[in-house]
Amino acid sequence: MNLSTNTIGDSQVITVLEARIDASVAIQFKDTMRKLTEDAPNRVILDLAQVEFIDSSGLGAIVASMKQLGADRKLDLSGLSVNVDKVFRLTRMDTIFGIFPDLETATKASA
Amino acid sequence: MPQLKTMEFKVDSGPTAARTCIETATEFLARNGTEPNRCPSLELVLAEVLNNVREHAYAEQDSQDIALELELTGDHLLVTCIDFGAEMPNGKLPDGKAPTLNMPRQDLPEGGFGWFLIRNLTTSLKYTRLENCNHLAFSLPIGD
Repeated sequence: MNLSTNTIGDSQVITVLEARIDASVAIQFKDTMRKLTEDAPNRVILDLAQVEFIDSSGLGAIVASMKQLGADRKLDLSGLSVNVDKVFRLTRMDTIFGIFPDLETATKASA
Repeated sequence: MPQLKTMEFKVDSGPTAARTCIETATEFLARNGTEPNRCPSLELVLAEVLNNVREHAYAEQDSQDIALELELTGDHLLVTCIDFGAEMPNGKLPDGKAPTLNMPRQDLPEGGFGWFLIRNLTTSLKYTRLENCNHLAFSLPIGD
């Protein structure tokens, strides 16, 4: 599962370099996120700008990734496409995450 | 009489079942003059339905058959998904209630959204068990 990681300001930025987070890759996504965020700072931004599609398994893996950070660290999302945003909105998971239109807006917003 | 366009195909129950089904259905629509953006829920609904068949009817076994029938009318795509796996628990469709989210973050659900999404995005959803086969039928609107 192709993810890249960077530090921008106080945040760890993880960019998903895949077009789909679906049932066939959900477990790999969750495992890779756990490894990449082991020593994460208080705020992690998951940039989904390249992701065209998630299903409920992909959504669950993103929720799991947030829970893996523990109660004291935050997972924000950026760059949701129309189809990805729709899954968050229908399940009302858009109320659970900080969601930003793009990475630049996300990094400028305070944690 | 409106003109009907139909297709029948099979996919293997392996990990790429959903992706293969989505590609085939999208090509079917395109061949019949329907751009994918006119059926925006096709991908998500097929993903949820096929994932359920793989995980629950076939308990994640590969190499089992999943049969699909597509029927395109002027304003709907009718889909029937047939598998030869385990019966739906209690012989009927899950309620698929909207997920409850008012709980501490660490207790949030990581699953159980699939049937809610299927029910939300389809019409005429119907499950039948016939001669050891599961038949799931539903309709997806084709928009402008």
